Amino acid sequence: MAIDELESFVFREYELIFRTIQSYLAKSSISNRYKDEIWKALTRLSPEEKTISKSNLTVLLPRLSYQACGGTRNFPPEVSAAWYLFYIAADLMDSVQDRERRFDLENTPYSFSEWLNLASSFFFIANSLLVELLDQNYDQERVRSVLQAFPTNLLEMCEGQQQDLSAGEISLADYLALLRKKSGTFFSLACSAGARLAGNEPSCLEDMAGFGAHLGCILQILDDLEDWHRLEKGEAEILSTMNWVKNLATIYTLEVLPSEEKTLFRQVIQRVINQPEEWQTYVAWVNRSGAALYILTLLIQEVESAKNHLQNNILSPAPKEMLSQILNRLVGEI
Amino acid sequence: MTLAQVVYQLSTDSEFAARMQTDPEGALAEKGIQLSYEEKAFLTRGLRRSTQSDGNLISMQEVASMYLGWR
Repeated sequence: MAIDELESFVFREYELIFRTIQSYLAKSSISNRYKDEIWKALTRLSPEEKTISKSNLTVLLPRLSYQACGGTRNFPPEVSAAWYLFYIAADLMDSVQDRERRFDLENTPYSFSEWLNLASSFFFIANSLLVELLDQNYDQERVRSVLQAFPTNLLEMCEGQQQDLSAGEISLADYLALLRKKSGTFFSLACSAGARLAGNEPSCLEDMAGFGAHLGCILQILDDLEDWHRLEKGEAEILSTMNWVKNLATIYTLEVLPSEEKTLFRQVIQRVINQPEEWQTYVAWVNRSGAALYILTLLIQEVESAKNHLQNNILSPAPKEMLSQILNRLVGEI
Repeated sequence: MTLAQVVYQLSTDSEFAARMQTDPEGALAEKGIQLSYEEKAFLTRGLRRSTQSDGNLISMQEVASMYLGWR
């Protein structure tokens, strides 16, 4: 599949998602002023056509999973729109919690509290869009299965986020479990929601959920690597907001160092928390421990596991190929 | 021994790392390390991908650069 073609699918999906949200807002009882605020916030947080990136390809997951599991009639855009709204809301809340500057929230007319309120509005719109499916001409049992899957998975994701926010130093095994609970569960939901609507074929559903879970872990690892890139560029904002204790490279290093060196490395971390300008000492420790090889091996493991889930012969070939293309676009030949 | 601990051994023992490139089964057996078939396969690929021409392992910065611009 040509790259341009995949991107045009993504752009078309965004158009459908926006149209679906717009028509929901049009009939909503809230004031025009608040509708306008929600719309502006949503467009500010969403990519423009020219800036569609590799991570934006994930917006296709619900539809492609539906098609891969044999869904033939028109896929309800409400499912993609709901998942996208949850995605944006979770990302927004994460940014506020971590005081990240990715969305440049400080340079907007809204305070952090207002952004949190807008995120809550996204949640409720998403929920309403899903409930509306019950009034439409879709298989009610399948729709109910999707309606149950959303809160179940999102609650699990919240549990992961709570653990992440409250935990101090954690083991590598716990961090990997957290990765699966947060990012893995969320992208698994994107894929399993589509598969559930297609017909609840157990092996198909299992493979789509598994594919999404591994894709979610891959995205989280790439996110950690992006932070690393910014760190090594010496970007002041990442130095001040970096969670020096809870990133994959640090957790791996703490896991593998012999106990005496572990104590010394903990002192390095404490120093760098107070004096971020000393980040190069921290980087040297992490590099010496072989963190790069470990992360690359982990990434290969996640990619291969995701690919394995696409081997199911029941899956329809064209959407299966597109899901595979999304994976390739994200990580290339690994 | 976990995969992470094997990776650490590879990063601190250049002879072991070099042997892993040519004879992974023998290198692991010599150290008494048991990994699953999948772990061995992933690690061997990871090692191939992350070893530079001078035999040194690549840095975090180099891995990060490989996947730049995905977001």
